[in-house]
Amino acid sequence: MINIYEVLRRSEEGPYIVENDFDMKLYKVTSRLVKEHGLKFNRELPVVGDDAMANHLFEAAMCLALEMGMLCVSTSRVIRFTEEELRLALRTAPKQFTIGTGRDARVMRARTFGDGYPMLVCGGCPGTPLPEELFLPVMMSYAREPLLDLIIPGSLTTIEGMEVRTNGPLEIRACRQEMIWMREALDRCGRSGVHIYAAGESSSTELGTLAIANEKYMRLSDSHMIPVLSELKTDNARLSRVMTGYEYPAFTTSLIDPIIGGFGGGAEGAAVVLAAAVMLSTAAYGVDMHCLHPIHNKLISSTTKEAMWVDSIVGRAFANNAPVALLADAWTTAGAGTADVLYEAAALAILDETSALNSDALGSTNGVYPNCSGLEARFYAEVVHAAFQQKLTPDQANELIAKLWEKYKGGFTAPNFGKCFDQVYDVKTVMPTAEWLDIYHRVKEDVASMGLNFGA
Amino acid sequence: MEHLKNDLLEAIYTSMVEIDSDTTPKLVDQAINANLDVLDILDALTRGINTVGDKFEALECFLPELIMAASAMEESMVLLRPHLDALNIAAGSSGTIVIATLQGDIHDIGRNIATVMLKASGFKVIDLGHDVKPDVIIKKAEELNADVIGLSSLLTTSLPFSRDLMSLLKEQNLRDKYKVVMGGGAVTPEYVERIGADGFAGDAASGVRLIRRILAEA
Repeated sequence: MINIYEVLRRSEEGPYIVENDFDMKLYKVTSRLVKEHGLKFNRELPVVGDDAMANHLFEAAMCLALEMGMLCVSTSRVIRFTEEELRLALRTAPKQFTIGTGRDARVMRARTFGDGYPMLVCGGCPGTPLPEELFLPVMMSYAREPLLDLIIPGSLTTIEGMEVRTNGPLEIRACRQEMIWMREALDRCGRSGVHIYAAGESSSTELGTLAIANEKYMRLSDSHMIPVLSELKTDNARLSRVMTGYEYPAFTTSLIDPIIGGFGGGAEGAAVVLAAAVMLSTAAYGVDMHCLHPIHNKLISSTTKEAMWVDSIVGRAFANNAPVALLADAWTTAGAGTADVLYEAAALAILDETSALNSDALGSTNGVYPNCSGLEARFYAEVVHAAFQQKLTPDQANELIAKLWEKYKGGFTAPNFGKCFDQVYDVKTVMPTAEWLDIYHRVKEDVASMGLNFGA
Repeated sequence: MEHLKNDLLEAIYTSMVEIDSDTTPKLVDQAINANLDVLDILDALTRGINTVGDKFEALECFLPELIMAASAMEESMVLLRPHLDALNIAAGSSGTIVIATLQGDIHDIGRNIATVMLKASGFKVIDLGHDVKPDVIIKKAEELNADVIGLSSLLTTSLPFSRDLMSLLKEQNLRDKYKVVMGGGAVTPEYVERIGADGFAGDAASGVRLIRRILAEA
């Protein structure tokens, strides 16, 4: 990371630009770079095995990061970096570090191909609104899954019946309560030391992060998120989170959500923007991890062919050129209690594992409904480990994903949002219902019949 | 003459579809001066912008191009409107919409897309931007005698401000005056129903269809 005060200085003294002009410039520059570097989305090959194209993407992203910089919308000033600064920031970014504590500690790695390590799998329900009465059992359903290495909380939307509002006092209370219950969920499952990822999900402002920057809530072995605004932008609220992390050094993750069809253009442009944002946030935020979350302009989900391709080529680009810890969000259209969500989970698990990515949790129903549970996260993790053991090649991965796509593609036009947690789990025993387990077993058998060896 | 007329209308349509946004208003001006039927000109523009909207949904063109096409449409409508007014045709003003991203939420892109698509569909749209308080939205709707209030939110924690807006409308005896529609990542049809708003749209295109339908029913 560049010295934080230098970043702040640049956010106040960098070149002035009107936001709309920045957006349109981004489109022009990205379009040009996509052409110049010969980047081409192939919907039949969401797992990218083409090293040359991935390397071209990396260089295109470097050009974009240098030409655009990061706009601070609070000041309308561009935070610019030199190529030397960006490459140094990537080179000195953490390559492996321990998250969590005690026997629950795990080593997070900046993955490379053939390094012999599987991804770390995150469970939880990112961005998902959870009612107070369900928060604890929902989070326990993830904590009970031994294959989940780290856990992300859902969002508490009410406190004592009152809605939590952006910039309101209940953001403070909600984030603190979220952490109290998260830690209780871990304790009750005998996994107290598990890393809590993206702590403070119940707040969308820096209030939440500030409220939990205390060992009683977010431990130094946990992490919080600092979003990059779409596309390649930040503001004083985001930079305040950077400052919070500077003096309370829990781990940090940038959250990057390029829109496919937005100012970056199509899948190729969104991939360039995403990779450039990884570079810029490494330098400006000094984060330890990056959450990749490309969003399809209409279908939203990570399971669209376009979003999968974006994640995959960015994973390969960094693994080859400048490994950093990348965690791919896995947001599905379908929800708990459906076969669709499991097929979507399997496709993403295979894609993420074979693209040198780590996992940011499965977000059932794109985080809209509390139709989520530990069981679909278990399945995602099982597929990850099977794919790793089987040493799937990109071609093999694409063959499997093509079969899975046929199973879930209908959900984009007729989504099956599934059921709320309390209809797929017994909330007292925190065990899945027989019906949900039956669906899980049937889909697992079907995916095995497609060629994935769960027993290997 | 008929051949020239068709060529010009086709050129207007093509310039829209190919996002040749500098050319479209010039062609419209040329068509007006050549005494082409203004309704035919309007039809060529509308077909063009609808094709661009379809291409955007199919990822065959992107947000900046959609914005440029909408801008060409707006410029063209400035040229056409006096002629439409002279014929007492209300095309281009099929309803006034005040749109905003709710208080506390700084996300613009979804609202921008909706604004562009609505403008392109002939609505007068006043975009109040992001992080807008409910009373400011209502005040603007009153000032402009709007038909529809459009609310966007990507943040669950900003949704409660939409409920505040509904309460304020009721307290000020304005509830029946406006149709309130909502969209954005955090919004669900169930939430919209719970707070008593008039409609939910999952994306910009369905938002256009929704507003057309509820205004037709009003």
